[in-house]
Amino acid sequence: MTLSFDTLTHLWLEIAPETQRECWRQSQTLSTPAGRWNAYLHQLCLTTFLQWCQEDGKGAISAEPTTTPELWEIFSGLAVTLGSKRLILVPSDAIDIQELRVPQEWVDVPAWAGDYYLAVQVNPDEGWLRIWGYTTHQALKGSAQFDDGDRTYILENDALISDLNVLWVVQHLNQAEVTRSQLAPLPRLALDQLAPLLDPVDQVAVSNLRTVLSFQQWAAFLTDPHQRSQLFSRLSARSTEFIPSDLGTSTLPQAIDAPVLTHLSQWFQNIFQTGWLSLDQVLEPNSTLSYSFRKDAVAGETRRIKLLSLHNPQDADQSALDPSAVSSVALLLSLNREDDGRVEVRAQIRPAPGDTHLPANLVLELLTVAEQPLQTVRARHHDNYIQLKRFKCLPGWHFTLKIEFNGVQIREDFVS
Amino acid sequence: MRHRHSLTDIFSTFVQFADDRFSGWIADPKLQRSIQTQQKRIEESSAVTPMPESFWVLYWHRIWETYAAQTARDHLVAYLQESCYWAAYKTIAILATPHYKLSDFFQIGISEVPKILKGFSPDQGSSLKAYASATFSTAIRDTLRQRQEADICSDWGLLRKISQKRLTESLQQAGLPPSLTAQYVLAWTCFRALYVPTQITGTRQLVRPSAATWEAIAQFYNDERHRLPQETSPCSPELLEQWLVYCSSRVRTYLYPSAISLNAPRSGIDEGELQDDLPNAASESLLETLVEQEDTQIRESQQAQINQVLTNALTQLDPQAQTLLRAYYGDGMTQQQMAQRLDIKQYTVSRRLTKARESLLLALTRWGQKELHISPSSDVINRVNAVLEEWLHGYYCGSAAYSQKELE
Repeated sequence: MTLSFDTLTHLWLEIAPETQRECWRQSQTLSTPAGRWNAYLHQLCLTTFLQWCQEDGKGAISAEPTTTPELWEIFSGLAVTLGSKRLILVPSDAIDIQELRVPQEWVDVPAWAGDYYLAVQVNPDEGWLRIWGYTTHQALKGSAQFDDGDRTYILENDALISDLNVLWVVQHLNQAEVTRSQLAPLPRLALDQLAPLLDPVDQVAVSNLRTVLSFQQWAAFLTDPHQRSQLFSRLSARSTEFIPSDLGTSTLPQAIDAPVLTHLSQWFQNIFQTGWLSLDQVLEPNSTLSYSFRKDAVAGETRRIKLLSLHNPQDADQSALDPSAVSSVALLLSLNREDDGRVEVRAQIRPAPGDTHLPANLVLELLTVAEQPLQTVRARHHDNYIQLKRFKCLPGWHFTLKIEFNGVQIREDFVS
Repeated sequence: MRHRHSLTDIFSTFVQFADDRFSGWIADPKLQRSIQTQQKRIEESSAVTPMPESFWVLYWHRIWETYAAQTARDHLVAYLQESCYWAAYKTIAILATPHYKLSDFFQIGISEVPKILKGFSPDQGSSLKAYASATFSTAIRDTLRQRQEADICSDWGLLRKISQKRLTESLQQAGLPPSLTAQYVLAWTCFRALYVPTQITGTRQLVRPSAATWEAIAQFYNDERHRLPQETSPCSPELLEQWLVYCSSRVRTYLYPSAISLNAPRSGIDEGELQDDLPNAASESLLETLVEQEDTQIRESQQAQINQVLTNALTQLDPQAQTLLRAYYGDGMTQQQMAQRLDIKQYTVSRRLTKARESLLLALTRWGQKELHISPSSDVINRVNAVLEEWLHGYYCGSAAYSQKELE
């Protein structure tokens, strides 16, 4: 057919088949069929959009911490950072593009609100997506209709700017464009006010919950890392009851040996997963590593260290032949909690105790949940540490640190 | 197609089809009277001899904008008949399949007029006709794409692939009362939440949900129905299925509207002249202001400068980008046709065209910043972009002479 797509003012992007497979695989970890499907659409959107931005030189762009699959069990939307601006993408698989519906969370929670909102149509069958319009936070607050029933802001097609080129030119000429409406800060609900609210959760349907609580209560759950993880674990327990039998099982194999997920929020409660040790447990008090790492410590910082083996099981003899070969390194994480609830993460690779240098060409990489690389750093000769630029995560963000050396790949998965 | 010459005709007659071909112009007496009255007023009140077509477009658009006057809208619908006809004609010619009707395409296009009027901003010295032409062809192509998609979807696949707004409109058009519409939409929401594709592709051919799924959907609906504006009784899985089958058929019907009221000229019976639509004094003062503002010289010199800026920017693009722009705007080729001719992927065509338009937009906005002191906000640049689109259409079409001569 000759006109599968042709409207020039919309941005059409191809979704690669391998992206589809990978996104599908990742989405299968969620507990409900609707959550899986929604996560699949979101990950297609995220991966394809980020890749296009990078190829097209749209500047520093990265997935935002709030972009976490478990949210997609409940509502839509994902955040990316472009330079100093925050973009909220809202994907939909509808064939018509009559309206953009933005869940209230992305508009009225101050830490979540974006500068620009992009309407994305995803067509997995034909392997493409198109961005058919954008708007600003100000326009949403100013002229969108609000649907009380499902707590969404709705803008009709013709209220959006259909050509994303306009946004790129704004980025060129007017990075300081005023995009946001003022938001009143949400009242902080104390933890003991929140906990009892969870009890009735067991009584209501999953997608109902978002509207059973008041928006302020719901937002308090979302923005408190501990409450949020509690909430999601209850939701996933509850939601299994709701799966009709013809949808209950996925037709694709699950990810093989799913790696352990490290919950960083628990570190602030002094709960640490196996393998994450205090510095004192690992380092001799006067070692150079100990010194340099302590020297730049910040008050209130939580730091843990994990030893990672670079041993390649396939060439078992190598270390025996070459005793000087490096066999392990240390991954160091320092966390700092900001006032707004975000967590600042510093990740370093240091030589293991007893070694002084890292092996050259050892690579440390930060990946999003969609396997999108955000940062990469590679050790040179005689480096005694490498580190990623500090990054900040909103509660609930999933990320992966990948360490690669000499054919060995180690992955550590985290949720903040 | 016979051209309309008199101002009265241009703003008060509508295309008539017979055997899916243009058969003539049919006049709307009410619109005729309206335009004649306004013309007379101008002749009486100002020394300037007949105002040009462009003046009247501006005038009716302003009236429509200020007073939401239906008569003003109808004048502009009449005015845009030819642009819409040619957009439909070109699209049919490119598709070259016997499945489509010219009059059908025309209807799709013309129903976009309210949206066009909303998006059009005359301040930037742009012409409504050119702006509308681009929107007409976009709308026609997009509707076709949706129909094709809907045609290969099962009922259940289709229901998952529509927006809530589309569903609501389909039900409203079918005459369903608001209270029932709310129930059906809620049922649809529950269906969407619980019945989802479980495969990587193949979302179109979803089969009928199982009995267990219907049970779950009905239970969900019954849990949620307290959200409805009025009290309702619980719904059984069987009833729920009936509702959704009905929704799906309404959505299909909605994609193929039989006739659109916008283009139906009214019969001779007066149901209110423009004078009833808006205060007389207000329209008169607006008319005077516009006559005073009509400074053709400034407008023309601005047009010349825009032309200069864009022609320069165009020559800086690489040859392939220029070829693509010409093929798209001038020859009206689809991106797929261009891809075949140049032996590159369609996405590459799309990307390069987009990139080329971005650099032109940047050049034009910079010029506007410098010469017109516009502030480059999203809204302003969006309007600049409309000027650019229009210019590209005009530049490559050789002032539209091409399309009409070739095709007539």
